Amino acid sequence: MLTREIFNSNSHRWFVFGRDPEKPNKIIDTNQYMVATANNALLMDPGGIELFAAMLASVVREVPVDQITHLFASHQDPDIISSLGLWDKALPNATLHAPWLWEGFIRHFGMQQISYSAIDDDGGQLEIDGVTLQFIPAHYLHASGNHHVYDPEAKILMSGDVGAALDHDEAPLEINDFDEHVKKMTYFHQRWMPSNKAKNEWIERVSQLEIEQMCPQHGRIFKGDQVKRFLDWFSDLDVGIVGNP
Amino acid sequence: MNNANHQTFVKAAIVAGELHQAMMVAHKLTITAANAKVLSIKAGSAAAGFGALTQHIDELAHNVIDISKSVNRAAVASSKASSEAERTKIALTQFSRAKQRATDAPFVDSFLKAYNDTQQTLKSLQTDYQRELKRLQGELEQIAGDLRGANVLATMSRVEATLVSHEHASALRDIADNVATAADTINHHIKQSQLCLAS
Repeated sequence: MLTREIFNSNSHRWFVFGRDPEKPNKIIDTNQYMVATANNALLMDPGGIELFAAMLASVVREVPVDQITHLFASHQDPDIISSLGLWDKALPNATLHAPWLWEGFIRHFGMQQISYSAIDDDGGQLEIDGVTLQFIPAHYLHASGNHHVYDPEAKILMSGDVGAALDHDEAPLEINDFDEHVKKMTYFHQRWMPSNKAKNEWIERVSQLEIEQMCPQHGRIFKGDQVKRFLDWFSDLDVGIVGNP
Repeated sequence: MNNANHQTFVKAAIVAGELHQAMMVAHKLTITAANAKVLSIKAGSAAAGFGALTQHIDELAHNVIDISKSVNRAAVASSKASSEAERTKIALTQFSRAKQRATDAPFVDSFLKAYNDTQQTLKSLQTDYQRELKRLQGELEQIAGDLRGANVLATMSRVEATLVSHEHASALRDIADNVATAADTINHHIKQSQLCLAS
């Protein structure tokens, strides 16, 4: 599994994990993210059961497993958090931060040791070793209870399914040609995002944030000007449409 | 029914299903016992022997219901322990895969404690499962024993039915047949359960 450090400061580091060559066919490729602080780590959208071994192997290249004291699930989908029952056996002291709406659903994946910290609809924040991370509401994008993670110091927005693209498994992590990339995002956003109103509210909300990297759960990372280009493109896109890919 | 390839937790669930069916039949048997009691009173003194047997039929039905409930609880506990063991085995497999893929990782040893703890959990779950399984087999044997008595009851009921007047004999014979049929059906479910566990 590919591991890339995408931010590094005195206080913390950001990593992206993905493009696992041993991933079984027919399961969608996913990006997993981790923030490692001095003594702790937050694993974001840690992925499905099928990716667990690859993820665990990748994580212990960067931090000891007992430093993973926080997990985050943007929503309840299996590609986001179905590995929870396995992480539960590996992390005796971790807390899962996820939308309050999904607690009763996510617990079906198996949670005996990990505790659930419900995120309010309005969002919230998490402080780890002096690093503050914000939970940004992204409801109906696509799940009815949905949050993203914003790091004001790193200026990184982990944007869940927003900005996702249906790309090939060996696709680079960077967007080389935005116009070409749009072709890989359009159907995904039109079909999976149900609400223009929710979309516009989210755009309004994240436009207030200073974002240097926007990191979706599928596809490639947006950097610099690409973030604004994405927001403009998304603003013009009509979503909630059933059509052919 | 071929259960040879079923996982242990599936087998325990099948046994719970079989015992539920057996319990339903036993419930009907209690109604048969109540009917028999009324009929034996109507049939008068000639049916006194039959009247005494109805008490035994009722006791047998209630025994089957009580033990079925207990077996059902044992089967559910056994299925739960077994399915948890299967999930734990999956976790161990995943840990092993991660270990193989991270042999050169600086913190690979950091999940060895979790691996060892999970192995211990698996052993404990397997012990729980074996204990519940033993209890399950013992209680199935107990029902099988009670059912052997049911056949004797049915035979005695038929004999007693011949002693009453023609007017009531046919109804009492039907009751004796019902007892025999119910016992056979319950026996079938018990045998299926035992076969399932043995496969």
